[in-house]
Amino acid sequence: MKSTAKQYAQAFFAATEGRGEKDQKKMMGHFLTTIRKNGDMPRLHGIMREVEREYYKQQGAHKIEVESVTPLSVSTKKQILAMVSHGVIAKECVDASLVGGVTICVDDETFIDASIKNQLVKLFK
Amino acid sequence: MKDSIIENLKKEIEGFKHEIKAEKMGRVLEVGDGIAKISGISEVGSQEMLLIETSGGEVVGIAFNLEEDLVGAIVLGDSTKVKEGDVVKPTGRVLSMRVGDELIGRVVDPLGNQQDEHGPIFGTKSKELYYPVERVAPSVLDRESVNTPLHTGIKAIDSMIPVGRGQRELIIGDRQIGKTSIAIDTIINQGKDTRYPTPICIYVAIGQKESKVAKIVARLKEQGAMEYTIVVSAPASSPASLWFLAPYSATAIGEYFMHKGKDALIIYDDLSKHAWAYRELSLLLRRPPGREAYPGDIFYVHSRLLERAAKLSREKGGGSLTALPIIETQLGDVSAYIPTNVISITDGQIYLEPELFYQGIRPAVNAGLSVSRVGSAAQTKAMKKVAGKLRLELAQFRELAAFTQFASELDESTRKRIERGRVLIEVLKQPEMDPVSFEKQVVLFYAAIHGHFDTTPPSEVVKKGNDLLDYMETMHNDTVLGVIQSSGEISKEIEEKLKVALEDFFSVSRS
Repeated sequence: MKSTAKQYAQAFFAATEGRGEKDQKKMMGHFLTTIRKNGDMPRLHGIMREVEREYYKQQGAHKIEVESVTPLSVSTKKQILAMVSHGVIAKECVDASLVGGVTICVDDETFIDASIKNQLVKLFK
Repeated sequence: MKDSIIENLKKEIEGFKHEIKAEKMGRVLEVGDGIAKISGISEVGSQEMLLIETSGGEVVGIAFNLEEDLVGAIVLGDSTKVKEGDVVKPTGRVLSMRVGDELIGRVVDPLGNQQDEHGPIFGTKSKELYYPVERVAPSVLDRESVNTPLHTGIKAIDSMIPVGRGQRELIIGDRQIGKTSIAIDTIINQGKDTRYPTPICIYVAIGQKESKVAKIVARLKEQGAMEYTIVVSAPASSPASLWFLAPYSATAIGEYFMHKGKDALIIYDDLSKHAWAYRELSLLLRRPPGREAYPGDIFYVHSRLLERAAKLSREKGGGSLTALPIIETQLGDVSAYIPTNVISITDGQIYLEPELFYQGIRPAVNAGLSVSRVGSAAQTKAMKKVAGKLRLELAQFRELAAFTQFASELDESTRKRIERGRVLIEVLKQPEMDPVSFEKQVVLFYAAIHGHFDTTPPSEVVKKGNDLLDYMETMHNDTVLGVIQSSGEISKEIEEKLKVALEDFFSVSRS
C-alpha cells in the first residue's frame, strides 16, 4: 500500500528528531533514496510540500507567502508579521499585475487578497 | 447619455465598500481523468461548489470525497486546464442551475450553457433565479395522490399501463427496442392533448450520441413540440461528471415549473448510462466498489433523483413533475442490479420485449409484465370503461396463445377468444410519431371489445381502424369525439350515438 505524502513527512521528522545537523543532511539523502526506491519520485513535489508543512507545524509557526507590486519594505514586513502570530515570511514575490497592495497566503490554507486588482474586479463585477 | 454613464459609475464608486476578508483556499495536488485531489480547504462541505483558478480561467468543481488530508473533487468542464498547484477556493454554496421560462425551446448542457444557435438564453433584463441541483424531495404532507392522466398517445400504454401526472413510470427494454420512441411520442402528444394543460417537457440526454440528440431535436421541432420542450444534453463526448450531473440539473428545471403550479414531464434517457458515469467517478475517487463494481450508494443516487418527481398538494400550488426514466437491459435481463434498483423506486414499468418487437408488434409492450401502480386513478372514466375489458381479453389470449397451433381442434369459445386476441393485438399496433388522442383510443377500443372487428382479417385491422377514426372525425366529431374529449366519460346518450355510428361504419365496410 502506498504511503501518503503526510506519512512520508511525519516519518522523516521522526527519523531526524534529536539528530545533529550532519546526521539530518544524511537523513535527507536516505529520505530521497527511500522515495525513489518506493517508486514515488513523481510525487516528490507533493511530498516535499508536506515536509515543509510539517516543519512549520513542528516549529509552531505559520508559513506566509506574500505577493506585492514592489519588494516589501521593512515596515510592511513588520505589519504583516504583526497580523499573523508566529508567522514566518517564507516567500516574497513581485507581481506588477496586482496594481497595488499585497496578497498574503498563510499555510496554503488562508488567503487574504488586499490587492488593488481584486478591488477593481469587485467594483466592476 | 455619456453623463448618465458617468453618473452611474460615480454612484458605484462612491457606494463601493472596501472589504478585505481572509478566504479559505486550497491547492491542487493531483489532477487527471476529470478528478482533482486538493489539499487545504479543510472546512469544505460535501457537494460544495469549488472554483479552481487556472491560467485559462476559472473551472468549476464539486467536492465529492472529504478525506482526512485531501478533498477529492470532480471537475465540471475542461480538466486539461487544471494543473498541479492551482489555487482552489470554496464558494460556500452547492451547485445551482439558472432557471426561467426562457429555457423553453432551448438545448442546454447540465451547467445551463446553451448548446443551440439561438443566441443567449437569458437577456440582461431576465430575472436571476437559481435552483439548487441537489434538493430534498417534497415531504409527504406537501404531496397529494396522482389523479390527472398524462396521455402518452400510445394505445397500449394509455389503456393498460396508464401514467398520471406526478408519477414515475420506468421504460425498460433492450437496445433499439423503441424506448426513446415512446418517450418522444409522449412529448409530441402533450401538444395534441387539449383536455389538460400542456406540461413543460424536459428531455435529458445522458451519454447519447450527438447525432441522435440532433435528430430528436429536429423531430420535436418538426412536430411543433419544441414550443414546450427543453433539452438538457450531456453527450457521449462530454466528461462523466456532466453525465452524472445532467439528470439533477434537469430536475431542478422541472421543479421550477412544478413550484409555479404547472405540470412538467421529465424523461431521463437513460439512467443506465448515468449509473455507469457514477461508477466511473466513484472508482476514480477510490471509493470501495460493490456489486458489479458500482459504489455502495448507487441506489441512493437514483432514489433521491426520482423522489423529486411528485404531485404537489393544492396548498403548494398543485403543480406536478412526472418522471419517465429509461433503463437499458442486456438480453432482456430485468433482474440485473440497476434495473431492479430502479424498478423498486418507480411507480411501475413499461416493459418492452424483443420477441414482440421481432414479431412485428410495435410498440413491443409486454402488457403482462408491465404495470402502473397508480392505475385507473390516472385514467378518464371513458378509458376505464373500455380498458378493463381490453386487459382481460388480452390476458385470456395470452393464456390460450399456445393453442393457436391447433386451431382446428379447439371449441368455438376458445377459437373466438383467440381471434379476438389477435384483433386486439392488431388494434394496439401503432407506428412511430403517430400519437392517438385518448377519445379516439376510446372509440377504437370500444369497437374492438364489442366485436366490431371480429370479422376483419388481422392484416386489415390497422387500416380499418384508421378508416374508422377518419370517419368519426369527419362525421361525428362534435357529437361523439368532442363530447368524450371534453367530458372524459361515455354517458348513456353518447354510448347510444357511438353504437349507431359504429353500426353505420361497419355495415358499409362489410357490404
